[in-house]
Amino acid sequence: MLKDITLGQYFPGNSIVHKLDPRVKIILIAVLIVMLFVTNTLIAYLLLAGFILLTVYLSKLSFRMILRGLKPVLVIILITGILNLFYTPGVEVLRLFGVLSITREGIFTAILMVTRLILLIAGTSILTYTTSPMQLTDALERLFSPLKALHVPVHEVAMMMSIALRFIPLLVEETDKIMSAQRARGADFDTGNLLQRGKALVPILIPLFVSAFRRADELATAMECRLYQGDKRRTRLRQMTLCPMDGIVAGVCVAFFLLVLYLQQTA
Amino acid sequence: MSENTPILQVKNLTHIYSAGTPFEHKALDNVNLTVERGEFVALIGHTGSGKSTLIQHLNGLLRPTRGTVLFDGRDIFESKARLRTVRFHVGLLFQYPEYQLFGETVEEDVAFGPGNMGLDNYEINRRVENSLRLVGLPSDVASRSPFDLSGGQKRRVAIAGVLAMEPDVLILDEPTAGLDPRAHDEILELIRRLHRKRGTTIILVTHSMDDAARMADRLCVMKKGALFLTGKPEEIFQHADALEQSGLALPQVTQVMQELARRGIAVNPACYTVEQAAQAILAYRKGDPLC
Amino acid sequence: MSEMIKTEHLTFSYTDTVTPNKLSLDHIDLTIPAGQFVAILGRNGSGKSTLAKQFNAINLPAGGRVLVSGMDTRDPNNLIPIRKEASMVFQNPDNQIVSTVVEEDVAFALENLGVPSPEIRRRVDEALKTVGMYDYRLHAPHLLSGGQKQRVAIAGVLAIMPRCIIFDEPTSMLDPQGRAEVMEVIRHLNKDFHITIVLITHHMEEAAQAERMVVLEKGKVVMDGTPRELMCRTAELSRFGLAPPQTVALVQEVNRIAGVLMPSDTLTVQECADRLQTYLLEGGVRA
Repeated sequence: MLKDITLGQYFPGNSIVHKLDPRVKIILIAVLIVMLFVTNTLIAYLLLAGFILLTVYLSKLSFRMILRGLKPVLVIILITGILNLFYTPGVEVLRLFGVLSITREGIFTAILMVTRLILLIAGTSILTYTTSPMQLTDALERLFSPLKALHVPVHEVAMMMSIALRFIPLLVEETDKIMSAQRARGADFDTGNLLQRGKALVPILIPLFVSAFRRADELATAMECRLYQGDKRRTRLRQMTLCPMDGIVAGVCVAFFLLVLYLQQTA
Repeated sequence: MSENTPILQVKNLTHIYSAGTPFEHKALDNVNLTVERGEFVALIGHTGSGKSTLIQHLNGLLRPTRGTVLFDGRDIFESKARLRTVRFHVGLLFQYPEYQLFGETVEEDVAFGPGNMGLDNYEINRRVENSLRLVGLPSDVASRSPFDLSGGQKRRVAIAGVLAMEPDVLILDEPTAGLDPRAHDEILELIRRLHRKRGTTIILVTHSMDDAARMADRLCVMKKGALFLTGKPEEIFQHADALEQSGLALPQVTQVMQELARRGIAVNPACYTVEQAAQAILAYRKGDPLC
Repeated sequence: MSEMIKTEHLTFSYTDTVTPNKLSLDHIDLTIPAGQFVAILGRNGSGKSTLAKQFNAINLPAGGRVLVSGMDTRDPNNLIPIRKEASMVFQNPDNQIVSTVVEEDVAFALENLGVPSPEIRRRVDEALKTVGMYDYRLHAPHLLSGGQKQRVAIAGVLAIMPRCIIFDEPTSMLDPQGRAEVMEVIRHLNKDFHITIVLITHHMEEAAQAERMVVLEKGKVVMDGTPRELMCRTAELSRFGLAPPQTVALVQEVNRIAGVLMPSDTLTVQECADRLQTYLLEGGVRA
């Protein structure tokens, strides 16, 4: 049921990918995504796919987990493939039902787009599978901290994200409980038309909101008691410090990306 | 539907959460339990002993992984319609029930159960009035918002919401959790009254051996998903060591009597109320160690 | 002994529409010396939690004043120093834990104070060891038991190294085992670290472990003394919605039926057994 939803599916581990500074990881993934969009040759894609496979291997994640990450977006990938297959103008190779034409360019673009999407999702999955949500928000806060000079509430947004992560399991559990309690009073959430089903949600949503506000209120007081004053002079338990390994990995990756770009140019 | 059929029967009930995943967890392991009509049973156990999982099977909120649950001698999962009827016959009050209130007025909230039963307005109103009176709330409360009431009053409204379905069996999960001593006693008194006057079968889930012993005809102690001990309070308290090992705190009077017994004073160590213990001590002093 | 908390003619009322002129706190004069373990009791709505929230400036007096280590809570400049001196643990552990990792949660207050990282690490480890949760430092709080969560919350305020901790019904949502765990930590903090403890509770067995108990009724202090003095005053306690521990009640019941006059200030099982043993074996006090 609701309990099966997991968020930011993090698989703790001790691999080199896990240990990499989360800021470096985020930047490298961002570069990888850009790479996927600026390249369009077979050789580039083969190299990038190889790069991702190697990373998965190094992170000691199972390939099955990466495939599972693809499942929810399978439909989008298929639609993208089919649209590109039929709607790319070019040299026709096959005509179906008199209206749909498949072109050589179409086949090529379809393969390209599908591979691009798969690699994109596989790449970001590696990031979320090997980095805890807390580390992610922390790293994002630090990466975006220059924006603070422009009065962007970077710290506040990061704080909100981490509190949300803390409270989601609680609220999920609470929703489960409230649903059971209302079911015990004969509530029926599974039958009826859309309007009836919508109405049936009221006895869940109201207690849930009331509880969320109560929790928020209590949490705010507790945070104040623990001297929270926003971003003022804040330090951290874990400092993020770049170590030589981070530099080496980043260097290797950047060199590799440059090589891919060079090959793409010469191909 | 004969008078002799037990009202609830649980047969070889096993429940496994998240079966087939790495989080697999056996919450109930082959539990057998029979509850007679009009009985007052207390279900006791440490957190995680399986009490909550068990009671959610009794009105079909959870489906057994293996085993059956019978209400009035018939399987509660026989059909969808059967399950729905059983929900109205077996009322279940969750822990901190005031957190499930949603109505704009107390009346509306209490009417939710009877409304779902498909009763007519006259009957619904009668039941709302009745159950509010039963839980001891003043009549002017009916038109107020449940969110403006005190903690103790909210708890009563929630109880009224289940009573309004006029269930044959009432299951209460820690109904006094978080209340002050006075409110605690009042809620227990209310439950006792329901049992005596309406003849409602009661299953009280609690951590408190003290409440369990004072209220129930029969105690069922759960441990690690299994029914560990069952019997009358005085029988259960003979196993004081086993109870303490399963993470339950004995009433202080029982602890005193145990301590005296340990010191070689032959008083009955299974006394669980102040009155019983005082009688036992006086009897001992008169030279009559059997209380 | 220095004064940790002092209230002078303290009054306070909530701005609600139902009872506009009702005082939640009605001229309270209370002095809590440093290092004391005081339990505050009273029925729901007696004002005990409202009073607790005055002790570290969550609520401010409407009349009179509150001094924490001599600092007036009404002065905004005192806010941070007061909260470093007197910290607070609440009823629901879930709603006071901020982080998804135990040790990061314990570090929260120190991060807010701008303490350097190595110092945070040292104090977090120490606080977790004090409450016996060091082995769980990398766990996710939502997978811990109630008692464990509450101990994490205690570590979270302990890391600030306050001289006083106010506990607002810390055990009321816990099972007997969790309750015992938390009470053990509280006693440990008072005995071994000399931290002033203000424990708001309605469990008489918990109050019996304190040095001093204060009973509130309708916003007024109606009883103030040692548990040993006050617990035997059954009739008075019952008037304020409280019942004595069973160890006291048992001795009183024997007294009543047998017409004897044993002192009933037996706060623990051992004390009660001692007294009854004397009565049974040595003849006791015959009527």
